[in-house]
Amino acid sequence: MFRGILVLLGLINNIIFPQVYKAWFLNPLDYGCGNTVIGYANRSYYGDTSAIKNAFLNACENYLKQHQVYFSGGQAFWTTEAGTYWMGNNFTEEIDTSIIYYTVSNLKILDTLIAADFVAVLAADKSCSDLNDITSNVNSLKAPGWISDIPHDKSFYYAVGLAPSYYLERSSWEEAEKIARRNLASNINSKVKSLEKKTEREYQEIKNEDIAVMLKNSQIIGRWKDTKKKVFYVLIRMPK
Amino acid sequence: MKRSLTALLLLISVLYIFGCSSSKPLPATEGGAVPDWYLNTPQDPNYLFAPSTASSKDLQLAVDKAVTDARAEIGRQVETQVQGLQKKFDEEVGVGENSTLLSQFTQATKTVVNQSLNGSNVQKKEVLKDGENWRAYVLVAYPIGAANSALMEQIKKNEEMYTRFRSSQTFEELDKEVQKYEDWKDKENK
Repeated sequence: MFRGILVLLGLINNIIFPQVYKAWFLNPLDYGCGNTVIGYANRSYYGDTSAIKNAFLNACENYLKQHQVYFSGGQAFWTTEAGTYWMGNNFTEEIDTSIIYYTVSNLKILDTLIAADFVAVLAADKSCSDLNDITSNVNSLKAPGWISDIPHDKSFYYAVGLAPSYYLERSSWEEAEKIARRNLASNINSKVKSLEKKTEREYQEIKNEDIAVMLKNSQIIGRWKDTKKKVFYVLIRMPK
Repeated sequence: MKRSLTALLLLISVLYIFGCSSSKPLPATEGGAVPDWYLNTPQDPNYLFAPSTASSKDLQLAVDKAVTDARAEIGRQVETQVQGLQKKFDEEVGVGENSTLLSQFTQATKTVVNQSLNGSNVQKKEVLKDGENWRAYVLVAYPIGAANSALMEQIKKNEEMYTRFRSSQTFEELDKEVQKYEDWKDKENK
């Protein structure tokens, strides 16, 4: 009975809010709008004006992260015959907040996306005439190749971040972006320590990975939502 | 009243049907599709590759476990310090003629990796739902050029350390003692 109600609500939700995103949200590089950035906010109860303002502030914070962010921390695992256990992590992102006022006064909102339960704004430091209102339904599109085959070339470092589906979709996108930045940092430099002990009777290994990398001029160049697996993907790159 | 009761019953029936239709077994592909590159590791003279897999209830942890494991494997391929420990335990149990000599031979291996990896990248990544868990498959690649420069860095560090050691007072003393010994040997031979 309860499952039936959930399915019915899901159907209604899909009809009212299909998995439709603006093209600039999924493929930001397809438009010659330069250094763009996206900010998120939860939807407001009455109109979305305040949500758009919040999303713009979030875009300003993300703009600073794109410009320069220091990613540091580490994570450890303990492996025995029974499996691998997570021993904890302490990753942190540090941004230069002294230029936040400059960023707020210089960024402009180019477009907004009102999705089922979140608002996203596209912001840039200059206006752009290439934008259009083309939308894409992820259910009818083929999944991009980069979700499994991560690009690599001589000019850029690339990384993909993924996140599961949370109650608020905004949380999933934001986590996928954060994980993408962390993966990018560990691709650039990571310090791996491992101690493996083997005897005739037992096996155990302790692994630790530390990151301390400054990311400069990184850019999110792709987003994808796998509606079947309920996984959110974000592709990020940074010049070498 | 009767009409509303009928409508309610109808709604319950519809919901029940939807509920049943959603309890279909999961597709067989879930948890079964092992990527080709995991089974057949790519070969490239310019890269070191390490495939890895891990599972967890948390999606990100499954990926992190697999990536860290693969990076540790790359670290092992670049430089490994293996310490073999062999211990022999002899124990005598019991008293007098009934005593039994237990000889237990234990062999332990300790492998230590401590490596800074520049440019190791996750080239392929696949996540699958495996029942309640997530299973992640990753392929981490490390350019040999980066491995070589890490080695050169290590050699350079060793050289720097040796240069510092040579300029130290301890080295001067060592040099003097060696010279004394050589002089003494020359005298003895004459």
